[in-house]
Amino acid sequence: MQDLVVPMLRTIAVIAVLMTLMPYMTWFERRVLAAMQVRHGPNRVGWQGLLQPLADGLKLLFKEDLTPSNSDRWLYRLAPAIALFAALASFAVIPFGPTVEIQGTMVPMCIADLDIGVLYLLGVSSLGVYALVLGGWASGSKYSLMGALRAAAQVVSYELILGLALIAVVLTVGDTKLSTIVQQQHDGVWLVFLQPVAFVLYLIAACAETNRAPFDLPEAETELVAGYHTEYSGMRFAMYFIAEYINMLVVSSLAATLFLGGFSGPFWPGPWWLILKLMVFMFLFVWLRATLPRLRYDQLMRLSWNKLLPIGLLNLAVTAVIVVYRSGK
Amino acid sequence: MSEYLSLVLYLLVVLAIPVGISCIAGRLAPHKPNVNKGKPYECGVSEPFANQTRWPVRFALVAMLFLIFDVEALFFYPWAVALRELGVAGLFYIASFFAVLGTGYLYARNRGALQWK
Repeated sequence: MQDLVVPMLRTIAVIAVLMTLMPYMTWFERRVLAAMQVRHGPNRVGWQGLLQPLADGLKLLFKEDLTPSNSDRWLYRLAPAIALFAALASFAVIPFGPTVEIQGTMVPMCIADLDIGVLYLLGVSSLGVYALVLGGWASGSKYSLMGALRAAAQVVSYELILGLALIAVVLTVGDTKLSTIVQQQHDGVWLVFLQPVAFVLYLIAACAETNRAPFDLPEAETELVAGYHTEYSGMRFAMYFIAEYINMLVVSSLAATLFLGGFSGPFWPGPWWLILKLMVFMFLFVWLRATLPRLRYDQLMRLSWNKLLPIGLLNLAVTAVIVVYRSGK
Repeated sequence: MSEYLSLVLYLLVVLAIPVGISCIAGRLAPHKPNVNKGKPYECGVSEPFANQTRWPVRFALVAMLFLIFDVEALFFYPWAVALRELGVAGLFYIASFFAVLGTGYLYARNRGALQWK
C-alpha cells in the first residue's frame, strides 16, 4: 500500500500541473502574439484576461458534439481520445527534479525514470499520428482527409529528423536514461554547446511534430478550413486542442531536458527551473508563429528529406568519430 | 520494478482523463441532431463526397520510405549506447550500415521519390 501512495500522489500532481499549465499556455500565446502584432489580446475576463482559458473551456463543455452522418462513428470518437492519451502519456519519463527525501522515503521526481527513456518517448509520442490519421479519415469530409494525409506525411518525415537529433544526444552521453542525461549536463556543460547542430534539428523537428507555424500545413486554415479536425466540435475538438498544447509542453520540456540541463540550476528547486526553461521554448514557438509565413508543402518535404536528413546523418558521423577518439579505444 | 508500477498507474489515470471528459461532456452538451448538421463541412456548396476516394500516391510513398528509414534509425540506438566500449571497431560496423542506408537513400532520391511538384 505504501508503495502505491507516493506514485499516486506524484501522478495526480503531474497531471494537475500539466492541465493547469496547458490552458495558461493558450492565454500566454494569445497575449504574446497580440503584443507582437501591436494589439491587446484577451484582457477582459478576469485580471489581464487570466480567466479567459477557463471561460473558453466551459464554453466548449456546453457545445453540441456533432457527428457527421457519413463518418465512421467509433473511430471518430476514438481518435481525439488517442491524441490526448498519447500527449499526456509521453510526459511520464521526463524528470522534473532531483530525488528528494520526504519523511524517510526517497521520492524520485519523475513518474518513471526508465532506462529506455528516450525510446519510450519516441514510441509513445508516435501514437499521436494515429489520432490525426484516424480522426481525419473517419470524419468523412474532404478537408479532414487532406489534413490527415498531410499531417501523416509531415509528422513521419520529421520524426526521422527528431530521431537523428536524439541519437546524437544519446551518442554524446552514452545512455538513454533521461536522468543520466540531466546529471551529466549538471556535472559538465549543457548539451546545447556540445551538440548545436542536433539542437537546431530538434527545434525544427519539434515545430513540425506539433504542427506549429511555420509547419502548420495540416491545419492550414486558408485552404483546408481546419485540417483533420474540421468536423469536430465541442469537447472532442477540445481534446485535440488540449493534446496539441500538451504536446508542445512535452517537446519543450524534452528540449530543456536534453539540451539545457533539464531541472538542474542554482537556488530554486528543480521543477521551477524546468518550467522556466520550458517557457523559453514556448516563447520561441509563439515568436516563430508571429514571424514566419507558412511553408509550401513541397518545400516542407524537401527541407526534411533532402536537407535535414543528410545534415543529421553527417552530424551523427562526426559525433561518432569524436566520441571514439575521446574514449581512446 | 517500482518504476514500471508507477508508469502503469500513471497510464491508467491518463487513460481515465479522455474517458472522463467524454462522459461529462456527454451529460452537459445539448444533443439535437438534424440532417443539415450531419452533413460534412463544404464551405456552402453541399454535395455528397465519399472519402474512400483516390488520393495522391506520394503520401503512401513517404510512409513507406519512413518505415524503412525509421527502422534503420532505431538500430542506431543500441550502437550509440555501446560505442564507447566498441571503440574504433564500432565505427567500422556502423560505416558498413551507413553504406547500405546511404545507397537506399540515394536510390530513392535519384528515382524521384522525394520530389514534390
